[in-house]
Amino acid sequence: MGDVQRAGLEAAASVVERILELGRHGTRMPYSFHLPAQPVDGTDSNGAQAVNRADAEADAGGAGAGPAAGADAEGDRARDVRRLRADSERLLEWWGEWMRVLFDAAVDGAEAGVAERQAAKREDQALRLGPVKAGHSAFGRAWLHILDGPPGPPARVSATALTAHDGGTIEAQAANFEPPMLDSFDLRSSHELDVTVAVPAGTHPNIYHGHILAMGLPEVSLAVRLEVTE
Amino acid sequence: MSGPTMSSIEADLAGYAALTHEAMKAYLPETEPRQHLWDLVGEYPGRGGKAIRPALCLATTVAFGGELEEALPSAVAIELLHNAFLVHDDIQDASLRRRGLPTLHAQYGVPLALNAGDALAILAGEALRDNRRVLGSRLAARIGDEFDLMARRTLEGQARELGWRRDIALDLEPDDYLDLIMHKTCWYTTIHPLRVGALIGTLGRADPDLLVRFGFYLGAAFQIRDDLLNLVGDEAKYGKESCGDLYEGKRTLMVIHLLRETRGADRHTVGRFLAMGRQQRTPSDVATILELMRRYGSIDFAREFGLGIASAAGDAFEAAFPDLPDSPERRFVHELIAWMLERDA
Repeated sequence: MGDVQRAGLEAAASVVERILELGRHGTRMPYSFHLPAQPVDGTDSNGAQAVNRADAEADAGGAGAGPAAGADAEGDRARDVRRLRADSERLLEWWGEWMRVLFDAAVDGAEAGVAERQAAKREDQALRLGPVKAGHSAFGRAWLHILDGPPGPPARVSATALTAHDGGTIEAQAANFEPPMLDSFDLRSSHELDVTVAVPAGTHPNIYHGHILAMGLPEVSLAVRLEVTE
Repeated sequence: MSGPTMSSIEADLAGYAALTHEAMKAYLPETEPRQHLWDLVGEYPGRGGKAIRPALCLATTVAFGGELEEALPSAVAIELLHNAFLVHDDIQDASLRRRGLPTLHAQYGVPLALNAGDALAILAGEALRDNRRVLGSRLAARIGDEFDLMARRTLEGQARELGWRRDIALDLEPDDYLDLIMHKTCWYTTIHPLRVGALIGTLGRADPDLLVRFGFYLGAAFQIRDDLLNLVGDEAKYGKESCGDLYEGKRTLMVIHLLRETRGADRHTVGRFLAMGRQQRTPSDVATILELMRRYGSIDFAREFGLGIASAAGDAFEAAFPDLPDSPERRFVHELIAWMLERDA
């Protein structure tokens, strides 16, 4: 080997030593999670030597079938066990993934049920008016409950505009109440109310939604649903 | 090495390449936007290439007792990341040709090429995550760590080389070059595929550090040969721009030798050449440097230096693949040593 070849080899060997040393002292990222390494047979062996170590052990204890056959069988068994481990891990992961799918489905179903019941409850609590044709009046009777809020003077009852999904509107002035005022001195009281909505002529058939409110009583609110037909 | 042996190694390489590219198809989306992304992403993989990385990974897996299917996601992941590196590398180096055709950025512009390179890296991550299905989470996590380490080493090497060019580094030694290619090329070209193959083949029991020495000797032989082919190879076979490394101002072993050996006017010529930008370097400048390299023996030096490293690769191979039963895959990896030194493409 010439001088240049020798220099190349020595330089390369030195680079290898440096990189291996670097690996032993923290090239691995400190924030990286590492599963514990499986034991390696032999002080400086890699996996292949581990198999051969198993061969050697089989050689030492092998009798009858001959050392070579025993070593082969033992090596195959060692590999089978490792493969079984990997296969079992995958099986457990699949099982876990299926359990998660089932769990998610069950929880999603429960959440959907709760949401549906809440929506139905809100729907039940609304004052339903109609069906009524445009140009006619819809009438209904409701109870307003004063459950909370500071005592104040008698409160005037009003309504918001009623709005349909497509933007159609029935103005707030179309609604009339009897009595028009609530006696708000009496907290935790309920008041019967006659509600009349005069649906203007030309109003498109649709479902309109709005709220009945009471001036000075911010917590008082009753949903209204009005169905206008052809 | 005799002709038939060379061709048999190349046939094996072609076989591994076909296997890898077939498996890679599952990761290349056939959706929109094709014109501005996915067609570009498939461009470099579709141009072929030697597929040394996946071949090493697959052959080592089988040599260590595993099965090809177990290593396919890792082989695809390294090949996808390799292509991502190539796209970005071509942009950084302003290279004009890759695998016999215009580089991606030369064809589609830098912004789209850059984006396609990013996409290739993301797809590599997708392939890697499929290891969980094939190997189980424990070994897949280990392979993931190896992948991260490889990517980090490569980026560190790339940064070092780009830094040398930006800072017009002239005081460099062969040791610096070897240290550079250990990080920039060898870790992801040879060391990583060998380490991963050994881990998969033994289902996590191998000590991957035992593969580093052989991997480096093999990778260094590959890289030095590549650098030589860039200067004196047949451009039609080599597939890249002839003397492209000189146009790009790369600090190859030949350049470092020339810097060390020249004095006076010649040294000034080399220093001035390396201080130029790529666009300023003319064919006449490049021819002058090439002539100086011939006169000062830089090309012979690099060839001999590489031979010295490769001569130890045989012993390193025996230490890396100890007492494994003889198999076509083990022989293939061993025969790559000679192929690396003699290849002309």
